[in-house]
Amino acid sequence: MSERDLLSRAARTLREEHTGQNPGSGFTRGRIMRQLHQKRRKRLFVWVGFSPLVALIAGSAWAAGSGSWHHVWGGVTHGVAVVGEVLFGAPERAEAERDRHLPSAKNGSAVDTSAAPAIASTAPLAIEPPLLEAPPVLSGEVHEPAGPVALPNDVLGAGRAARGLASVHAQRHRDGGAKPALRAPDPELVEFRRAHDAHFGATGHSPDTALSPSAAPSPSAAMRAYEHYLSAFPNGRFVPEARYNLGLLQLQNGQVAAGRKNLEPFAQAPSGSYRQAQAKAVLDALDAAR
Amino acid sequence: MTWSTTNRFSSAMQAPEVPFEEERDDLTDRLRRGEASAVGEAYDLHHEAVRAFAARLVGDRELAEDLVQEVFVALPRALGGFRGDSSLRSFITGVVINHARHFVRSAARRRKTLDRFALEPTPSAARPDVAAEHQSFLMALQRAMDGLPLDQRVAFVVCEVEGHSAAEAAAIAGAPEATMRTRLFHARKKLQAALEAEGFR
Repeated sequence: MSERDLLSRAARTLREEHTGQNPGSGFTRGRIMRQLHQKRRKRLFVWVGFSPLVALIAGSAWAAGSGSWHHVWGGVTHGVAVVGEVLFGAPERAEAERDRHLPSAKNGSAVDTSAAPAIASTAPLAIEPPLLEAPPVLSGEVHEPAGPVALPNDVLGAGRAARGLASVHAQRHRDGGAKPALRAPDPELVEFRRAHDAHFGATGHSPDTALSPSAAPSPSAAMRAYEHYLSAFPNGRFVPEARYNLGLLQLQNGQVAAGRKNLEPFAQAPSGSYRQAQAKAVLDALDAAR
Repeated sequence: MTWSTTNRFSSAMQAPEVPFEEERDDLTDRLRRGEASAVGEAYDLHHEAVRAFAARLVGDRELAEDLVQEVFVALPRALGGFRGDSSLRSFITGVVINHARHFVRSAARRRKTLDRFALEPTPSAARPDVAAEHQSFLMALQRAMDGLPLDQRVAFVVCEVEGHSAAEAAAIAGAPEATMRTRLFHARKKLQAALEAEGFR
C-alpha cells in the first residue's frame, strides 16, 4: 500500500467512524437551550442586582463630593419606604418611615423639610409658646418676646459646634499632646474657644482657655466673647458658627432685633446651606408669634 | 397535465422562497442578538456536520458531544467576530477548532488510560477478523493523531478528512494558506511514519 493509499484509508476510516449522527442529539440540544437560559437568567440577575449598587456607590461619591449627601440619603430612604409599601403592603410601616423623615408635614411646621431633610429627622422645632405670648415692644418696628426665647438644643447648634470643637481639641491633642510647649497657640482658636466655652461650658481639656475646667455656661460672657471674636477675626474660620451662636444667644436674652439680624443671612442663604433650615425655622416661629 | 402546468402548480403550493443569503443574514443577526431560538435553529441546521467534525478531530464521541454543546452555547458571543465572508457552517467549524484544545487533550489522556488497561470495547460483527483489523487500524490511527500537534491535526482533519481545499482550510482555521499547506505536509508525514511503525503499510 502506497503512502497515498495509507493516508486515504486513514481519512476514510475517520469519515466512516464519525458520521455526525447521534441518537442523543436531541438531549444535547436540550442541554444547550437550558444552559443558554441559565446564562440569560444569570446576566439578568447581575444586571438587576448590581446596577442599583453601582448607582448607590456612584451617587454616594457624588454626594460626598458635592456636599449634598443628606439630600441623597433622604431620597433613598423615602424611595425604600415607598418600594416597601408597594412590595410588602405595609402602609403603616412605610408611612411611619416617611413621617420619620417628614415630621413637619403632620405637625404643621413651616420648616421646608424637602430642602433640609437632616433637620426633619430631629425633634420638631418649636418656640415655647408661654415665652412668646408676652411680647414687650423693644423697638418701633419689631414685636419682640418678653423674655428670653427658649430654643431646643439642636437649634442652638450645640451638636455641630460642640462636635466641631471637640474634633479640634482632639486634633490638637493628637498633634501636640506630647509636646504642648513647642506649639504656639492659635490666637483665633483661643478666641473662639473662649466664646464657645462660655456658651456651652468649659470642656475641661482646653489648657489655654481663660475659663476654669468646671466653668458653667454664661450667655452674657459668651455674647461678649463672640462679638470680640467677630470683630477681631472678621474673616476667621469660625465666623459662621460664631455669628449663628451669637444670634441665638441674642434671641435667648431678649435682643430679638439683633438676633434676627444675625440669623437672617443664614435663613436667606440657598437651601441646604449651613444652618439655613434651622435659622429659617426660628425666624418663621418668631414671625408666627407676633 | 403538461410539464409546465405541473411546474406552475408545484410552485404555487410552495411557501414563498426566502433567498439563502437573506435567510442566513437573518439567522446570523438573531444569533448575534443572543436569541435562544436562533441557537436552536442553527443547531438543527448544522449539528450533524459540526458533530462529525468534532468527533473526527477529537476522536471520542462523548467528548465531541460536550464540545458541540460548548460551541453552540458560545456561538452568540463568538459571532461578534463573524464578518460574513464565509458560510455559517465554516464559521462554526472555526469555533470548534478554537474550543478543541482542551477536549483533544482529554481524549488523548482517556485513550492512553484505556490502552493501559485494555478496556477499549471491540464491536461484534459478522466478520470478526475484518472488524478486529478495522478496530486495530482505528486505534493505531488515533494514537498517531494524538502524537500530532493540534495545528497539524486540524490541518489533516479539515483537508484530508473533511475534503476542504487549503484555501478553505486556511479561512476556517484563521491561518495563512501557505501555513496550512506546511502543517498538512508535516501531519501527513508524521501520520505515515506512525502508522508504518504500527505495522500498517
